[in-house]
Amino acid sequence: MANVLRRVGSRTAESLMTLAVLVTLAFALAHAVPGGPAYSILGLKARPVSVAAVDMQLGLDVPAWRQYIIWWGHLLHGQLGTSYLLNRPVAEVIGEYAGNTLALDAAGLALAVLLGLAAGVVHGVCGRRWPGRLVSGAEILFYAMPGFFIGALLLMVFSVWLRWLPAGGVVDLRLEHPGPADRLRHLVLPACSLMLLGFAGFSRVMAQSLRTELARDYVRSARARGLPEARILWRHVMPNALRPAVTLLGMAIPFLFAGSVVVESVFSYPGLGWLLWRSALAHDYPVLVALVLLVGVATVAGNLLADLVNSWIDPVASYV
Amino acid sequence: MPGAGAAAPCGTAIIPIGIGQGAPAAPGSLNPLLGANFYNMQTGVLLYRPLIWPGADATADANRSLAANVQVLDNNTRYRVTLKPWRWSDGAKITADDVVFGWERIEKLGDIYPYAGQGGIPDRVRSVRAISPSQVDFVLKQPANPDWFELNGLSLIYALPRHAWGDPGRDEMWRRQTDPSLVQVVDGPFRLTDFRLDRYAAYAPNPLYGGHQASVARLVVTFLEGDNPLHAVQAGDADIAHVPYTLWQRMAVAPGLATTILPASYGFSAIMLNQHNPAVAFLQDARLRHALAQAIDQQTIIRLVYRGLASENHVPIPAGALARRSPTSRAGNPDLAYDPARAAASLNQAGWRLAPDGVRARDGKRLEFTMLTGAASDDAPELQVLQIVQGELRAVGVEMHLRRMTFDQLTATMGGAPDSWDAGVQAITMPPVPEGGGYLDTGGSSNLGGYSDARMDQLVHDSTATPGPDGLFAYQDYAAAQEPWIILPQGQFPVMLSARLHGVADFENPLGYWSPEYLWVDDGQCAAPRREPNR
Repeated sequence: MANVLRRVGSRTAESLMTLAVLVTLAFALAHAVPGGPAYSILGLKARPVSVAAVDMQLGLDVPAWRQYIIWWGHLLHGQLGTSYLLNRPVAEVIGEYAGNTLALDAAGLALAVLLGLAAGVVHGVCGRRWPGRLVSGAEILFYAMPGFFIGALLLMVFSVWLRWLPAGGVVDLRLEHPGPADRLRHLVLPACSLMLLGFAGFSRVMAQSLRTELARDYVRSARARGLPEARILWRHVMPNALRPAVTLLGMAIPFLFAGSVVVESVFSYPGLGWLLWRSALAHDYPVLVALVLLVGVATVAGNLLADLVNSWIDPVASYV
Repeated sequence: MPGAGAAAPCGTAIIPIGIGQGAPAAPGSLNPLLGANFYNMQTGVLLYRPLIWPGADATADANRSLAANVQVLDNNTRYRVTLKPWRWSDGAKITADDVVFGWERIEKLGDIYPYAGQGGIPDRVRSVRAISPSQVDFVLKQPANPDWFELNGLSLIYALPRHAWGDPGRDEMWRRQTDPSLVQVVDGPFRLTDFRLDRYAAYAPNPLYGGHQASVARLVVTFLEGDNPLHAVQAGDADIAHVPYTLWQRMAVAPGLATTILPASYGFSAIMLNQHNPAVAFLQDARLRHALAQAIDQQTIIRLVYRGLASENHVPIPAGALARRSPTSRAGNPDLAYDPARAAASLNQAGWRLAPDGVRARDGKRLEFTMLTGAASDDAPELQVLQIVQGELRAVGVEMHLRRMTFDQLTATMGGAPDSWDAGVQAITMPPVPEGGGYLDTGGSSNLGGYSDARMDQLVHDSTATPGPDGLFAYQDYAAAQEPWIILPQGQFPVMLSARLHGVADFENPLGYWSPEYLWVDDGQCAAPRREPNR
């Protein structure tokens, strides 16, 4: 146990270094692009004197390297700054959007994992028989489709043509007091888009892993001993075959977030992905850098968690 | 006293921001003094009424203005505004002191006041003083064209509730510009009930509003972006949305939906030519600028890009502002009409000869420049227009390269180092009385190309100082002769709307001054409202 804790500590220290580099890069890239928040705020009324005044109001009248140092100083005091465009503390803004993204990503990921594992089992077990080929074709189809296309397709079919589900948002704005059922209705299409975006990866990894495990000696021995095929599959093969999928799950956070950016834009879903995109376009540096930091932390934590789960599934192997 | 009593407010209208103005985006301020763009204006004017309300025809709309009348005194230097006996939403009377308070907030904002310069606000105003509880005097430093000052200047002046606001300075107003608690006491037709940053603003009627009472019980202004508003209308989640020109008259209109056309926003698109960049010094030649304008076939642009929903325009005056256009510009500025043969002859005369590669050159320098555009997507109308322009200029031997960037990068680049750009396209929104001040006068804040001409400066000044339209006519005719910017057509807005939504004609305003109090919904439960008697 002490060994595991030491390794976790070491991994955390490495991760902090990675996060510092990530944030520095985000900060540098954001400032390297021409333009700035004053231009986004003032638009065509961006007279040089107004731009200078707004820059001063936002604390952008000092060199970028000093802004960077000030930002770290604030972070060490637990402050993420104030959004330039929304005029509210960054933590408050992120808090307002985070719940929506958590709901969307959790639903999308759960559906993707369930569908991916089921499809992976069919693909892995059936191989070249028609169910396996069918699943393989579906995997390639959805893997190749751009995210916005999947979202737009679902939106056109289920919202515009059939009018079964809302086209976007998180609640029906005609209702003064929307309930959980209404929120759920608004979650269906974005979550299904994420599911279709993500399931193919899980499915292919799962299928490959299953095929590898099914070809191993212990499976042959089990069959020779006359164990039922279902028991071999679920009792002996699955725990081993699951490990790559669990690792993939840990690495899925950045991909999930990237998917959210697309899906949230298509469905006007007010989540962190959409906020990130908007902040990048409008040079809202405090929000942008805070979100990069947040995604970085989530990715590092996800990877660590995946390794811990793998260690629990297979105590003999060392993952952390 | 509240305005004309109609049936009880009923139903919900959901309106995406930007309708009748441009691509939607979220507003960044609830403070009417800090709203630098039409998104802020569209949400802000629901809460606060300016002294003068510019109507859809860009003249003062007495019904919707806070001012009952404006007297012009002392050789056009004193403007005495008498207020209507309206009340704040908390029941307090709106007084002249509230107007003075609003003025003081503009002064406190200083350089961050985004409308500085328009209508002489605040620089040309010597003092603002309440002379009675319902009258306030604006004293100017010099005589002003009354039409210009009333419509462009007084339309920027709001009464703000001193008793509710306290004494916020510049920093506090900046910090609290999205704070709904600051805008709880209002004098507009609506009060804010819910505001979700970047998502929507919800309003309920203000029962103490002195003008036309709102007919809808709930108004939601959504901040949907891109194609999302159109999908929302098609799915029944919103009531109105722009239709892309590429889809206009090609898309099926489902039952329960209808289409109509809203006028173009009150402005124009302009190719701004940089006359400060030595690398494209040829753009300082008015003959060459004329030739470029003559090489562009606006009718082709109107037909191919706007599907016929635009008007030819050659002067920096909104195409729809017929009363503001000089006789020459009403006749279509024949000197600037499409005539590639004449354009080629002018270029020849200026010494630009066709080279074997089809591009003209003079003294070894090719006639080429780069056009910057903030077109948001590959199918943006602005980009399509520029691609047509590119082909037409190539046909007379001028090479135009296109470079896309984001809108704020475009603005920053064009407002930055003079040698960092050659030409760029901007959509300009004009105040009710179109003016050249800030745009084509020497050192004007939005004169991005650095155009400078003493006669133009004088004409710009005269148009704001001399009563009557002649000053404006002379300014625009000289602008057509000089062609410092090449004006392009600006499209009207085809829209799709829910068949349950009515009153759109009274609601829409090309200047961005929305009046959703005239909207009503017919969903089987709501009765049609009575018309305002004096409209």
